[in-house]
Amino acid sequence: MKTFNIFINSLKLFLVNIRTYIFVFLIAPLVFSFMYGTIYKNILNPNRTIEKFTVAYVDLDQSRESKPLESIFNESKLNKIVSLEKLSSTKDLNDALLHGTYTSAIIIPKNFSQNIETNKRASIKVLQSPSAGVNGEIISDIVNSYCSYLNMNRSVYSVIMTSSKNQALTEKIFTSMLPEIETDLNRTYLTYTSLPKAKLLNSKQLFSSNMLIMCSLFIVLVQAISIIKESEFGTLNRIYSTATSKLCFYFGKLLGTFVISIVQILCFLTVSTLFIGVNFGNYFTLIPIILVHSLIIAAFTAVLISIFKNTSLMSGLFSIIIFMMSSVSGAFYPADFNAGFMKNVPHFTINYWINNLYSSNMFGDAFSSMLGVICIALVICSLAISFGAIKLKYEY
Amino acid sequence: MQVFKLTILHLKRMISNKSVILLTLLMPMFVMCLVTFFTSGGNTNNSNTLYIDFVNNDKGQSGNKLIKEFINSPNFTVYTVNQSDAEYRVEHNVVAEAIIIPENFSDSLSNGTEPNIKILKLNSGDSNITTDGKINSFINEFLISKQISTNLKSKLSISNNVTAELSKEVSSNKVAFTSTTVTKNKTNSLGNQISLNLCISFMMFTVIFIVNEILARKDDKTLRRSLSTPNNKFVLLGSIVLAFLVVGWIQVLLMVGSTTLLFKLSWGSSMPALFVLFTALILVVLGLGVLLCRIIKSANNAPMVCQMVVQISCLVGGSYMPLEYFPTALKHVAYFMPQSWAVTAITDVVLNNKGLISILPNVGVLLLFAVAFLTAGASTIKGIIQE
Repeated sequence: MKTFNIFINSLKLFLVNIRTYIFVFLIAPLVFSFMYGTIYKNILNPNRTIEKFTVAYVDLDQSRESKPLESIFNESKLNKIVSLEKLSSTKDLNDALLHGTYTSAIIIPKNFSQNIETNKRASIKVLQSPSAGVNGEIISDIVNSYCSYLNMNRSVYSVIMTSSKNQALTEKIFTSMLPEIETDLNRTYLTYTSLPKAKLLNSKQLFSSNMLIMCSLFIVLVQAISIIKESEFGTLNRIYSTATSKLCFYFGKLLGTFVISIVQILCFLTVSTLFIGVNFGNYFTLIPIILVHSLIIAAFTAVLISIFKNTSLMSGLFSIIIFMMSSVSGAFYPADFNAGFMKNVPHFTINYWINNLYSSNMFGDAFSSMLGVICIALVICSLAISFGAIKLKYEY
Repeated sequence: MQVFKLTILHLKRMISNKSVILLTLLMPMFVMCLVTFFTSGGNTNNSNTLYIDFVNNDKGQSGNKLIKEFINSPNFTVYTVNQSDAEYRVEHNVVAEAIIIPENFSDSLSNGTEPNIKILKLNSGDSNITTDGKINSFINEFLISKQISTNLKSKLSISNNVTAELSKEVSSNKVAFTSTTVTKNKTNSLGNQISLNLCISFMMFTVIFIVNEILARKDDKTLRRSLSTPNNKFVLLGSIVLAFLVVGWIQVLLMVGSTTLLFKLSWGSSMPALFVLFTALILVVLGLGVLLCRIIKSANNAPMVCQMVVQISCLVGGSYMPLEYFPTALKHVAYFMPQSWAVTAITDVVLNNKGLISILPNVGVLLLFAVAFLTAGASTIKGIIQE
């Protein structure tokens, strides 16, 4: 009965600042989920098909050395992604590139072919728009390959000429070599393996579960502060003097945290489902997940009140810990973006394991596949709560 | 003169708190240094980069050279991972593709035999076009001269070292291409958008310290008591504002100074512009702190509420992610956040080397935000004094 009274008292204390808590535990995570979900919509799971882009083509040479480049861009494979726009001069080209009218511009200067024939340096200029990105890289690579082709032709011709010292024979051998050079330069060394696309959560699903966990960790902070304050203000000793045992107080407060956490999670799930259309998966399997989540929050509170005696140190330190755990486990960016060592860092956070349960449910996985994590969580939570109880009982 | 004496007294009290030194001054500096260290040399325009993974099984050095080709390009974000990670990341559409370099890659290139590079990609999409050409060109550079010279030898029937001659001719590279990105002005390549945005975020987080400080003065009634001293009301309030400004300036000085000295990060060419901008931002933070004190009644909730307000406003204002990623509607919402004006201004000063005149409109808007916040929160101060 005393435990129940402490629990009711704990709920009443929480309700004093209910407006603030509605903002922190409900509105803020909802806004975060919506914002991140919207911003990351196109970044997560992007379309891997290149959209057609426009390239300016300025051929000031109009020779047999410059024409083939134009036809490369008109081949069916490139024609799907590159729209070539021929220009007669470079006038206003820079402005058009700056404004993004063209992704890139290819400029073949006058005397280009003449320079090649006379063994002088010849170069094709590629100008990129500041926003060209990988599309500009495609154009640069094509022009680079074409220049390599011309360079190889010129080199082969030069070697034959040096060896034979006969113009007619050189022309004959060179002409017979041309198809081989072309084949060699167009050779590919790549083999492709197509993989099936995995089942993915949408951006709102991904961020709403992460934000829910981050904000529920703040309940730990609020409850731990309220319990330690009782000790700081001396009310705890007065409570103990009313024949209320330490354990009654301890379990009453933890029960309060557990219930508050359940209410917060349920409210958030309802609001995010209704207002931003998040699908959290099967409702029946969601019930044990909510219970385990709330128990973890209560256990975490037990750990904090066992370790800290000073609220200002605890609030400063734990705020940073929440922020860091949430960051590495993907509250502010998708954790799948991590590679190597950083990929395993989230495994050391509570956020990761709780999120693992929500994600499995959103993927529609069988409940049996979540049992492992749930059982481990239950054991750890029981140990943490027991540790807190033992420490409190044998204090002073 | 009295105002400075009072400011020093306030400062002494503020800085005597270890958590202020740790959380408000040292931690931002440390995290800024860490971020600058990990992002130094990063490209400022990374909105259109392609994420690719490499699995390098090569026993020689050619595999690393191929990877370096991609790392050197600003358009690719490259990760070297193991095969299972690569498969996971391709299947989950985190990266566009994974390039698996075989064990004998270096040997193949030196022997003139064709290597086989395996590409892992999703069933759909054609973004591999971007990398295909680059990889084939890289390999061709090593193989093509050898292959063509073998054919040439059979046709010329001469004993000269055709391979060496051809390689020499090819390496003279008489037909080449140049690639230039068109830019409006000379920009500062040392600056980094992430560090800048982070700097603004840290400045905003100072609001927690301000709120705590105001609430503490409310609780111990210091402000009310100091009104009974023969000091002007404006001198008293001015000294508090000045003390907050000084703490803010120390925070900025530590962040700017440490990244400049340790990592040679350039903060632009106009120090007056930086000073004015940061001062305006500190005033905004101060105003926001005063305003938040109207909502926050208990010091228990202060860190939590401040965190949420700052996090949301930083997110919407483009401090965590460049505004170019935002949908159009959210870009408009960002105009209502001081962070978006601050980020734009600091980007202009640091990345584009602009001066004070260019950022004056942004500074003006920030000062308007500060005035609006202070006016809206004025009743808080009045309440503290009258209580």
